[in-house]
Amino acid sequence: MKELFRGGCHPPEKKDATADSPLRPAKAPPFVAVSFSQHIGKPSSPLVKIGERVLRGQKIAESQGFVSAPAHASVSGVAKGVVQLRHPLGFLVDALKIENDGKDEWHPDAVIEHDLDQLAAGDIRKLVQEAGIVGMGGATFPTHVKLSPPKDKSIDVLVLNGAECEPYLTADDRLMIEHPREILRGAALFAKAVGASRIVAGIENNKPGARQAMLEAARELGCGVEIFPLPVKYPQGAEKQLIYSILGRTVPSGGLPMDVGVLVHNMASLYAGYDACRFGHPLTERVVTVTGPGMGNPANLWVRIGTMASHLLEECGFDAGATKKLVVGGPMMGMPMRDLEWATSKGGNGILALTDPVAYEHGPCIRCGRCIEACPLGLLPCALSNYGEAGLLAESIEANALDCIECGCCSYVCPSKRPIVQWVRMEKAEINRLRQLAAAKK
Amino acid sequence: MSAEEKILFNVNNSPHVRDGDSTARIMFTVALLLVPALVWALFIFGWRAIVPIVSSVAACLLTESVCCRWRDRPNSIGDGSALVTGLLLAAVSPANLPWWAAAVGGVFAIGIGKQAFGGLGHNVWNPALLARAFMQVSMPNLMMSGEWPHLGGASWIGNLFYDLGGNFTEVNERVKSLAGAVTTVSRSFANDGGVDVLTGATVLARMKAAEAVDAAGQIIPALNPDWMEIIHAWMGGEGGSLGEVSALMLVLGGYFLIERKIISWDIPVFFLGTVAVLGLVLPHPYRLGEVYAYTGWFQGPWLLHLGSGGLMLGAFFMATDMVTTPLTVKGRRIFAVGCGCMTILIRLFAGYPEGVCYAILFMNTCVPFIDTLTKPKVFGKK
Repeated sequence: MKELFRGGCHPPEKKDATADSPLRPAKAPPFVAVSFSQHIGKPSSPLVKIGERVLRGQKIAESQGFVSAPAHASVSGVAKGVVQLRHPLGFLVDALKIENDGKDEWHPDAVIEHDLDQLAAGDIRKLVQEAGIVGMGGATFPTHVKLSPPKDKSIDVLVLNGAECEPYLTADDRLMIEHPREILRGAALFAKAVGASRIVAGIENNKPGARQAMLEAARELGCGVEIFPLPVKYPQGAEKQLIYSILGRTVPSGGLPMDVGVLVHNMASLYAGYDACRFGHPLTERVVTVTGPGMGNPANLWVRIGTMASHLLEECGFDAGATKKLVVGGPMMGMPMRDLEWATSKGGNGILALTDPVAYEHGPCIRCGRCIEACPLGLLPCALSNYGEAGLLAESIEANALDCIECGCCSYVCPSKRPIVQWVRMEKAEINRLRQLAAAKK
Repeated sequence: MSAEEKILFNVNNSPHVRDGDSTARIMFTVALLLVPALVWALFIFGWRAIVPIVSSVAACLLTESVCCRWRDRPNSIGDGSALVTGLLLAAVSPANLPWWAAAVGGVFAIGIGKQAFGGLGHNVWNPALLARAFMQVSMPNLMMSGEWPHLGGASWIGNLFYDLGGNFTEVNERVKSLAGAVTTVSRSFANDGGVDVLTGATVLARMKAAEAVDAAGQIIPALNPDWMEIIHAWMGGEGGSLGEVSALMLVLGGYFLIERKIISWDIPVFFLGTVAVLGLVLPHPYRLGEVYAYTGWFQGPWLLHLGSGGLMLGAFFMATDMVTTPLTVKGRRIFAVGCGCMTILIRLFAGYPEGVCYAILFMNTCVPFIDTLTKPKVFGKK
């Protein structure tokens, strides 16, 4: 086996609560609120009139520009109006509220079946774009953009990201166990779209069931997908680290996987890609792991995009009193939510109710060097944290703050409980803001 | 359904889980693992040795509190680092150090060695060693009077050595002849004529000063240690400061420091390894009449080097102090090898018999340079 990526840490996995709970649809929500900003890029613009009846899979907002994605109705019912919801990043976004009539009637445009063998690369990209598929591991970068690399970049390997290295989350695990064929067919489509000749699925060793299912499906389909077992280490699922672990290729600083001929896709995105290409279904639901010590009935659920948190959490026995922190995503990189007034979106693979202490008094850096050992990028997090604390931007740039992938290993291991990655995020945001300002002046 | 402004849950940023380890846990574990060596010292030197221990710990804690108040900072006694400094300072003090001298050392260690730099995490030198260096130049007579352990009589360990040595007089005579400069021998006749307290030069001091005559009448280096002497050094039969007396207990504490992942094995192994190799290989100077002569290559008493002086204390507890050592593994290895080289250089060729303290302080000074030279390679950067 090739050398594993440097650094990393081993937070307790805590996946037991939901690892064996099969996927099932969540209770039908009384209404959904589908956000127009569920992706990185420009918000999509609304297409429907208030009071109009919309059908499931109907496009309700059109993408604005190439790096953007459309939104679709996830239930059938009447469009009630535009409401404001809290985005995981804290600001408010517009969302279309649709009252669920319970009929779950598909829009005719959303049920056009295709023969997968007949689809050309361009067709696949178009279908993926129209289905509004984004990176469903949490990054929410529009998938069709990743499937359209510039002419000068040739991609030879498609990597399927089945690391799911975040503690608690089991959404991808269950998807691989229960729908390996769909995932692999989706992978074949994506590989075709970018002309990749090799497909490798990286799966962490704590998911033997998923690996077995994927192996069997690969054998059955005869599609030549390699299944690559990965040692359990966070952040194994980070693109650069995954590519290094599997292929030994180093994505250059500031570069993208396509710079080394690789494209990485999340299992859920692959499934959605298959669903869109084969059946014409836009992305209207996804698997969400709802778990954590504050959740009475943790589960892996098929959740309609736009389901309100309050509705979803009720089904899972959410204990609001005991919960100190409500997180969308995993505990290492997920976003904390301040209340229950928000809706599920395309990027949210998990909802965690954490009951542990959530705030730490931090002390001075004692130079133990653990963050340096843990940093997968080879940065000096302790130095960056000092620069952040003192507001020294030039030093931060010099110390490669912009290379940080914000995995949070440094903060995790710090015995002084210093909010290291939090400071680095602040530095990065400030550096980028100043650079944009400078660019705007020119 | 407008988004309510009421905040129900904590919204501080990810990661939302943290490792269970903390600065306080690290410091208190270090303190705990120093205890076996200090308890051993109590066995060897008797209860009087509690005086410098209590005095320096109390002085460190008090100084930490007062400085925090002056600096208008929250009291940082709770992080345990002042306790560790106090214990380490006691460990490098002789057992018969007066209480006030230990207290002065404690005030210097925390006040000048640590708080003056900005408190925990900001000091350049190991506070305990800095205080020892300070005491060595400002009260040399108190610091150099390395007390010899009870030989026979009062302590059981003394009896052990007595038994090993067969006959006390024999041991005593040999010690006297080796030491050349045994300063005081106070005899107590209460118990088979054993000696209560014996002060004199430690084995490292003797190493340079001594000469001996072999059977053929040739002058040879006195330090051609037999096993007895090596066991003495390792078990605490030798004189020295409190924490120096038992290399074995320090190794035990050090083992658990590594096992508990408080320190990594790099520094002790590279430090001790360098001392052992150089201690074996290099020619040792010894006094030949009025001049110094040198032994041949590869004849050094390396086991004695390892077991004597503050080496084990330095290698496991001082050179591993996170604050004053390099950040990266590579840097720490360079640092440790440097400590080893400096220790041997001082032991063999400089004015002081013992080199660990100054070796570590010297290498502490080099840490910023080492850090600059050993920055890890940034992933994907050319």
